[in-house]
Amino acid sequence: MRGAGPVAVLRLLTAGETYGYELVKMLERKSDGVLAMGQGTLYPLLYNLQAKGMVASRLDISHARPRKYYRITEKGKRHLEHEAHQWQALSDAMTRLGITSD
Amino acid sequence: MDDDRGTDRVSRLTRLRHTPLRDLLRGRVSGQLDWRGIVAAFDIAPEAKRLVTRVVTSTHLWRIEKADVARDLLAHFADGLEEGLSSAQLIAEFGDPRQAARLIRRSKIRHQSLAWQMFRWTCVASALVLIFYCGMAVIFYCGRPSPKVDFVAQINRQIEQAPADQRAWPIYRSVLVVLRGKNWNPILSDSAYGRHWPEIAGWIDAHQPAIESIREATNLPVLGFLLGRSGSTAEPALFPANQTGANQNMTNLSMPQLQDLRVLADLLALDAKRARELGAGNRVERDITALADLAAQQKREGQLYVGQLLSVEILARSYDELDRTLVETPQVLDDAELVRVAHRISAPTTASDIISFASERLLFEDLIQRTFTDDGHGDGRISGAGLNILRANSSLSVTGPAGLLVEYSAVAAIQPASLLLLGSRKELLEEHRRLMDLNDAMIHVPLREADLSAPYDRWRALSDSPLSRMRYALLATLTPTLQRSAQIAEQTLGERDGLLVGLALELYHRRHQRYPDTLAQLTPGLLPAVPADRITGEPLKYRLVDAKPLVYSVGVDRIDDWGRLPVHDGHPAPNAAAQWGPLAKMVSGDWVLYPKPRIPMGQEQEN
Repeated sequence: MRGAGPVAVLRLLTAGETYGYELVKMLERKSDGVLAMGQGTLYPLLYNLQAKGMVASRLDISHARPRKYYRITEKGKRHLEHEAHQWQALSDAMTRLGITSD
Repeated sequence: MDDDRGTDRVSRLTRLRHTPLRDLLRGRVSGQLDWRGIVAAFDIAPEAKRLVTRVVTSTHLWRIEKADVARDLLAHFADGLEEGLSSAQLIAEFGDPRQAARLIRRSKIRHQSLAWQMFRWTCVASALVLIFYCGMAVIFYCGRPSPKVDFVAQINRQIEQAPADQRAWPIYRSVLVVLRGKNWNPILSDSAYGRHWPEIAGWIDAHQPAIESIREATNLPVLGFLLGRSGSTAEPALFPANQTGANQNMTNLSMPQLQDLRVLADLLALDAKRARELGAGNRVERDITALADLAAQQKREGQLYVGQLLSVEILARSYDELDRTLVETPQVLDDAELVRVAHRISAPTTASDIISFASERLLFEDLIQRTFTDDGHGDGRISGAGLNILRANSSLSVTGPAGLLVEYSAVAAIQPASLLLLGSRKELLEEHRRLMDLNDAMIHVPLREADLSAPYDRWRALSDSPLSRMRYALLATLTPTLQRSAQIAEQTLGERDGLLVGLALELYHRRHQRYPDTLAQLTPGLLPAVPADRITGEPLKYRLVDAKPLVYSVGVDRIDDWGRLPVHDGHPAPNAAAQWGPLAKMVSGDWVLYPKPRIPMGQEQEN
């Protein structure tokens, strides 16, 4: 489902900043594997969101191994809100068509 | 360390910092961006490192970006291993490395600073231009002109078709060889109207057999001068300077014979003067006719523009001698001689009868075949060898922007640009033909009826932009001012018209002991019709001044000034009113045709 990955990532980041591997795990767990993606897909997606200003990152060097954390920006939140409405409308339409159930 | 790009201020600042120069310097100097070192230092399985290295390498990003990507991917593997997954599992979950690299590259490039993106696209564009230019250079330097037609040989073949006894040049040549051995130039270089005339007259008298030979040779139908180094110039006694060098073609044709033909015309004119002094009417008539015949021979074989101009010049000498005869010693010619001369000079009607532009077409075609490649279908491009020919041949000087290209094309790097800037072989030949057709049309009718604007309009249409001017620059610079030569020919015909009237007036005067009141009285007995004013088309003007006839055209201003000459800078300017076409300047005064005005400077020389 094209466009679902970025929305899912943005939604997960609303819970707080996190790093790449954790995002992969959360996506797999919370979507029951439907939106599972490898790092070969996740990082380009994150870089895209970053390029659009919806996601920001910081490099945490306080631990032995530096780790990059990603967080959602205000712009990302606005976009997520807009996309959520779109997905809701799509879901409602699918339900009305009998493709999905309540 | 925060590289937050969520706020504009930080984002722009960061982007500005991520310039290629910074990347280059930092990466080189500090080794901070040694992404391979970063990969090597990470404690993960070699297969995972290889995967990361492969993906990062395939992104073709700058080092700062590669280092960033490498850290992310390595951290991901490290996190997975910490979670208890195996390297094999992580590699399997990674996805397609090639696609990952492509997506990473795309997203990172989107993230790059504007300055970098501009730099990147500039590099890409420059590289494409360079590749294109290199391709052009290969085409340019590999292209070789392949001339197929030897125009010089073609012209010579036509000349050689005439039987040897019908060719005048062998006779001229033998006369010139003999005369040249007699140190004659210093004598003849003085004016016939200067103080050395007695010496000249003596020389003329002493060389009557030679001059008679010249007169007889002018009756022959063919001049018979063979072009090229192996042609008639292969005569050390006459042309010692023309025995070496490469074979000649139309573009580098030397024509030393023109100077010799001018000398022959000088001799005939001097002889006409001497004959007038001696009262030898028949000799005067024959000299005048010989000059006209010599002009006709040269016109038929007059190669190139300069040869055609010489033909008109010699014809004008013939008319000048006739004018002097009618004005100074009319009685020297009897009635029959006057009538014969009138018939002889009455033949040309339009400029095309006394001048031809045909050789200019051959010159251009020859030049193009020697400088452009030939694709076998009539098209081709300028070649490196061709550009060198243009530069080396000073008589083909190309001016304007194209001139700069030709002049400085020694800088090999800029030469291939001419492929883009100069028109193709087909384009140039077609446009040249079109322009020459317009110029030819101009001389086949009286100039007042010709569309003199047409060549200019066509040229303006071809040069409506700097690029277009450059494209057709060869046409502009290699096509001489044909309209000017058409005007010179028309002026000569105008003077001839005046002489026809002058001859009729002389005959009328002999029969009636007075001049007619109007030119209409000369027709049809002495003139079939009063010649038309070559500017207005109306009959020529005529009046008596001090009981002497004056025949004139009203001139470019079309106002009858009673035969008054135009004045320029305080001096009479006899031909200033003889102008046609869009470039004609309004001049007050008339174009006097008969008797020919002798300007003060000429009179001073005569005294």
